[in-house]
Amino acid sequence: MTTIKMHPSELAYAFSYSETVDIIGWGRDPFLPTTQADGDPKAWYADGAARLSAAGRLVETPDKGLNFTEELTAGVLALVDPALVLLVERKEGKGLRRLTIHMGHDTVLGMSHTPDGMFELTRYADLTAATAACVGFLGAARMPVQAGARIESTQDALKEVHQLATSGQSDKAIANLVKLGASAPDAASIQRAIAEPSAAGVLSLLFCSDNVARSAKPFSVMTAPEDETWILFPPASLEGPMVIERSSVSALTARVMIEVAIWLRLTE
Amino acid sequence: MTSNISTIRAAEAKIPRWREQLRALRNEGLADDGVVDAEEQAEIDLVESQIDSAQRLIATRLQAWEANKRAYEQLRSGLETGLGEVARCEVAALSGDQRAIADSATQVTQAATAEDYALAVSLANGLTRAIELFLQQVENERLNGLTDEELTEISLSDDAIEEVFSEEYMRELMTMEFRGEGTPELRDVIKEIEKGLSSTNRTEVIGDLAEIVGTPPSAAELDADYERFLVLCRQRDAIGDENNQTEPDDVDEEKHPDFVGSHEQLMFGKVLGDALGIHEVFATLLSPTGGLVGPGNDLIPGVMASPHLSPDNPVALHGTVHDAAGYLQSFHNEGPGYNYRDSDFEDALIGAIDLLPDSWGADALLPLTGQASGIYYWTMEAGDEYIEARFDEGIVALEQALADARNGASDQIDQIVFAIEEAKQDLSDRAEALRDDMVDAAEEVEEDLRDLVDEVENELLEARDAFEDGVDRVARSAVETYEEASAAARSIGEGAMEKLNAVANFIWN
Repeated sequence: MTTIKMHPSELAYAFSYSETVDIIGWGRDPFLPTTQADGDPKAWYADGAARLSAAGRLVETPDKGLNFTEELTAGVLALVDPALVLLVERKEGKGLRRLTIHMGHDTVLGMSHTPDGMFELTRYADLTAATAACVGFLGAARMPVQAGARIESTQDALKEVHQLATSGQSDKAIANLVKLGASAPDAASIQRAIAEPSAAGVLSLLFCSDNVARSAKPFSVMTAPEDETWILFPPASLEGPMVIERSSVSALTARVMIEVAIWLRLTE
Repeated sequence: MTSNISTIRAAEAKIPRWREQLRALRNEGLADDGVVDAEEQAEIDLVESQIDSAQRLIATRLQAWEANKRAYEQLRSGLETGLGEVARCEVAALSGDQRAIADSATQVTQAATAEDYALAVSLANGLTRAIELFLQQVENERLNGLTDEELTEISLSDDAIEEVFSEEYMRELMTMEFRGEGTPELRDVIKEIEKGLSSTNRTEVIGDLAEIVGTPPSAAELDADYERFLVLCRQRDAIGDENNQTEPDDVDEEKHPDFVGSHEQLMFGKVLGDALGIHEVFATLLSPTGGLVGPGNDLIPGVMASPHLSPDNPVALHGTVHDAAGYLQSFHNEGPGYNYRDSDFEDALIGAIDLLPDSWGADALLPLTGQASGIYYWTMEAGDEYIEARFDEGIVALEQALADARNGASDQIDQIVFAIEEAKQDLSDRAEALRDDMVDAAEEVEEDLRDLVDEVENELLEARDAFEDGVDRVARSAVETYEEASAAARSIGEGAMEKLNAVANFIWN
């Protein structure tokens, strides 16, 4: 696992050669010049090229001309032409923190924005490691699931539970969950995970081609204050059931890996 | 017409006689004193080596002849269909070419009858190209007769268009060189063609092009490609209008004085040309700025001193192929889109596939996998809503059936992420125990074992470290507004977005 920091202009310069402006999970805005930088694309790209050269990522040799380093080339290709993206958004007040994993060719690359305006890029050895990073980022419970719990319901029924739980009607929310088949302690835990989570966010598996996410497998991930994680997801289409399931770091990582394996089998 | 096979066979027939003469020579040496002296032996050796050499030569020639014969037979079977099509052609303007092809076919047959397959193959290859050219001219005649509206409804792509967007093609493109690239001569010819050729200068300009890039292709072949290029220009304009696309820009030579005829431009032309079945030089003119990737395109020289990225760099190559795919879709309604899968991809998914249970048979999943036959059947039977219900039902069943697989994987991952120290200790213990058992074993075995332990430890540490890094990363990452994050949705398909929103609502609402 290696991590580097890059300025958005460096990435913009690299993406321009691939004729790509939108990066899945990020769009294009984070790579455009800011108004503070005068919004001048020429200066922005020139700055990107200069930064890449200074960092030894853009190198020129008499025989091969100007080239990105192999590592940067592999990273850029994973970003502009991924087969799979894991998009992780962790709730932070009214905002969010974001981590994406881009998998293309034989590269697994993580990317997040840092407060200083830079991007942090991490190259992982494989998808298991990258998924573990996503699950860690989401703050899932470390304790393995001892007793599995799963409620299968509909989107509407769970929306109602959510509405009750987040509007202070915790008893009604718990009662509804019990009606849907949850045990009383599980219902209370789910209610707390929805209403007062210690960590919450969404992990989405985006299956991509032609730099567009064609299909998605999203999971809401909510961890209750007593360190118990629940995930909520539609296993099939939105017309089908919606499931709430007890989870953990290892259970969620395993679920992601199995989902990816199924996708590979279905598309191979 | 003579055949080299008669010469080969004649030479082959002489070998026994030469061997006989060799024996006589040896007997002669022995006859006088019962001993072959050094001088006599030298003479015998010389003759023997000459015979051996002749035999080898005959064998080589015979092999070549047989290979030519096989090649001819293969070519011949392919020629028959083409000759039939040529014979059926009724385009008066091409009757001269029709006769020339018939004469060439006669010559090929004569060479084969005389068993001169080297000549037959050479003539057959020429004939194949002549037939292809002829058929292309016939097709050009037909296409010239179509209205613009009719052109928008047909495909002008080459049969090989699928191969153009493959990983293998990309690799080949990376090392490809183009004759004449970067020369002023090619640049001048391209500019002439761009202006449009008239009946007065067409032969001359195409002839100049053939000298620079050929031959092959011959001037006649390039001329047929030019004719097809003109048809493609009409299709480009008609479909471009339908798709509300503005006509591709010309190259701004003030900004890019070296781009016309450059390696970058010809690389783009090659992709497009292979997709549409014309020479790369003409293909570049369908979209003259194609292959001009990178930020330098919009920059005024002098503002950015940095030179352009090498066109062979995989990132630039990706941009070039992307450009071509976009052009094909926008102006010819063609192309599979840019969607190749790298064979190395699965290597990075260590263990993902292995996590699935063995019992997960493909047959049971067939109706769920989007197999064409299954989709077709259900569409005919019941319509979209029913299909979706069937899909949901099946996928939910599959999702539940995989609970064991998930539990097993979860245990493994738990070991990897949290039980690392125990696992390391366990591995070390096992290594220690094995080492004790092998006190007398060679040191290299112990070394191998240590390497193995290190390797496994590293693998485990990677996932554990990644997890911890993910936890720490929360504090290092920037907080964005929900609106900022929503702007990132541009590259997410509509169906995928709907699902994401439905699930995200449980967190953000």
